[in-house]
Amino acid sequence: MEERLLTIKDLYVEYITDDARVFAVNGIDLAINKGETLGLVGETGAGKTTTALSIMRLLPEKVGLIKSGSIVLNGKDVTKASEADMRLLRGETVSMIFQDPMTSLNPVLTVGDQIAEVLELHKRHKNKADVEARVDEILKMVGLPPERKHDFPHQFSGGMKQRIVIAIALACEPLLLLADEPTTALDVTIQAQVLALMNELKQNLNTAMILITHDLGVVAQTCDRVAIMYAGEVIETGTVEQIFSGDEHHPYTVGLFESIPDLKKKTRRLHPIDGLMPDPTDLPTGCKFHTRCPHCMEICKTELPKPIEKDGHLIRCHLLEGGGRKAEGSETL
Amino acid sequence: MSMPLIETRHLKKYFDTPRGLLHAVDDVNLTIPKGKTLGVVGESGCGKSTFGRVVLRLLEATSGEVLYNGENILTYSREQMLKMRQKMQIIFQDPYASLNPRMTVSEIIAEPIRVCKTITGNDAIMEKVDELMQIVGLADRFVNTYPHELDGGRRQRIGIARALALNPEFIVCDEPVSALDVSIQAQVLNLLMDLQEERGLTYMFVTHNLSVVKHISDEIAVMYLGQCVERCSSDELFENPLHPYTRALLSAIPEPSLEARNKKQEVIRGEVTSPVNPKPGCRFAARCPYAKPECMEKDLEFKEVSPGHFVACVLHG
Ligand SMILES: Nc1ncnc2c1ncn2[C@@H]1O[C@H](COP(=O)(O)OP(=O)(O)OP(=O)(O)O)[C@@H](O)[C@H]1O
Ligand SMILES: Nc1ncnc2c1ncn2[C@@H]1O[C@H](COP(=O)(O)OP(=O)(O)OP(=O)(O)O)[C@@H](O)[C@H]1O
Ligand code: SF4
Ligand code: SF4
Ligand SMILES: [Mg+2]
Ligand SMILES: [Mg+2]
Repeated sequence: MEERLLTIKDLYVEYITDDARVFAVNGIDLAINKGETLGLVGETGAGKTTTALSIMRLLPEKVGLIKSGSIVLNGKDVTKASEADMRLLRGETVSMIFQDPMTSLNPVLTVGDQIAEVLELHKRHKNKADVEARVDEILKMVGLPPERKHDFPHQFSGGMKQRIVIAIALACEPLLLLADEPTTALDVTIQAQVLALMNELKQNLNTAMILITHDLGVVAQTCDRVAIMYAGEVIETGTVEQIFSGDEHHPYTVGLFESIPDLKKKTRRLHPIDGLMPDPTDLPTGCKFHTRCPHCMEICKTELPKPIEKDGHLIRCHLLEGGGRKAEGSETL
Repeated sequence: MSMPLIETRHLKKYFDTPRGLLHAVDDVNLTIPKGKTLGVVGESGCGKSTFGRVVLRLLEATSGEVLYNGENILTYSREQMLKMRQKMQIIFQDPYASLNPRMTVSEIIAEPIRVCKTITGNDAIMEKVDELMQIVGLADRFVNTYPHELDGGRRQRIGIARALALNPEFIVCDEPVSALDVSIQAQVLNLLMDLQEERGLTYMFVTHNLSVVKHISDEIAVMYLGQCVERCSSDELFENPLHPYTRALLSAIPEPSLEARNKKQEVIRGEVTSPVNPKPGCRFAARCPYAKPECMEKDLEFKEVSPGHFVACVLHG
């Protein structure tokens, strides 16, 4: 039986700085069931981290604002919850692995003490020796020799710090894990180990996960569903099968896949999508991708495309509007 | 054979820790020919960044030599080194942390020029900054913005423009594209390769992304716990990997396709050996499925098993 854990509806988030208003998230809908892994991918600056921070309600104070929409997590609307409720939610229900590991590490505590602190907070271990044994076990799980628990964060490499942060997040055993680029700093063997560990958590505790990553390989190997963001909108979402196969996709999705260097082919030049992300303080009208889209039509410049769905596979593009899902030009996608 | 631009000989960097000496870089011998790219891959924490920093003398080596055009720069005086610095630059992984948040884009790019005084006069410097911004594809209108107002792709371009400001010959790229989405990543890789072609730049390219490293490198060095365990041309490494660690690494690449979803991997098990006071012998032995007693007897030789293909493992050579 599928049980809904998180529902985001029509969420808008802005950053108000001294001289600009940044439209970071512009009306997204997302849903996650218990035990499910959602891959969140998209352009740098598309609003992935902002979405995760909104769920945690950890947007930078005064600057980052949830303008409208709702985020219902385990029956509670995060946008309306009190700060005390949020603290409880953050401890028990949801935890986040931050993009920058130093956000969550204390530079003056040894890493062993930091993991022990979390374990003690969750009161699952009876005595000091139990906690210590668990700390060793957790370090080994993320591929670090337990004796290094006496070291301070600055004595570790970038990837090692990231593994410690992952270890701490896993020690919390949350219902929902928000992992923001958790394995970007890791080599592929350690990455495989860490992903296996997260998978184990998913099996044993039915943990759901939002995995933010630029690595489409990781998405293909670990996610159940995928949402692709562009300029603060979800422009395509579906099961991993729907995203990685089938012939109907958003032009941005197509561009992403064409940008990946192919291990099996030898090419001198890669084929990135032309142009850069639009300025988030001054977004284009209509389809936000129209300034870079090779299929741009007149209507795209003025009208925001509506999401069109088939079997849970949702695409926001004028090419698919009218005449079922097969619209003119889609063969070339 | 022509002289390489960069050559390291028995290069070592040990860190003093309360539990003993941590062998971060342990006897690494590598060469990079002028105008070529050496990719460096390996387990997180195996010493790649430390190696890059020691080569640039941003960290002092414990022992060994770093030859630049045949001259050991580790013996250079401060003044000599100051001159060398202009020829050697680094691009960091993290475009967030490595850019001063209180400086505007043009100030950041101009900083090395002002420090080394390669160009003087405000107008001349600004002209150079304009040129650099154009080369890396940053629009003029960003001249006076601050890095935190930009996305990761543009920030990384600032880092590249700054690295190019002094017309270097050699650039260490430490994970320069990991924080970028695949499309911007492809733009930055194309840019780096174009610059190499136009200016004959030499790169050392550190990354965990194996499809990126294959694409950009002429040769690849695989490191494990402070040592180089395999080195050969990029194509050879992917066609004929020899060291068991390299094989495990290549088999763990997550492929962006559904067919690979249930592919069996050579997962490596066993405990990670500590880099503090390591014992002689192969450092991968505790996790190697082929380990035998002779692997632990003495340090292994880095042997050339076929032309240009070096490996340190008892199974080969
Ligand atoms: N504190 C802030 N003040 C102003 N603008 C901000 C702030 N934080 C983020 N932004 C802007 O909001 C937009 C969305 O940023 P966000 O960090 O959510 O993107 P992202 O999808 O996580 O990108 P990346 O892949 O680079 O991590 C970007 O344009 C970014 O520049
Ligand atoms: N200042 C320091 N003091 C003590 N040990 C250090 C210091 N800097 C690095 N180390 C250790 O040296 C080893 C190599 O670190 P390095 O940062 O070079 O790894 P890396 O290969 O770049 O890893 P990553 O892929 O995670 O960036 C690690 O064991 C690390 O803990
Ligand atoms: S709506 Fe138009 S501009 Fe936007 S992705 Fe589709 S075809 Fe391209
Ligand atoms: S030397 Fe022995 S332990 Fe080391 S990689 Fe080769 S077979 Fe494995
Ligand atoms: Mg982010
Ligand atoms: Mg590093």
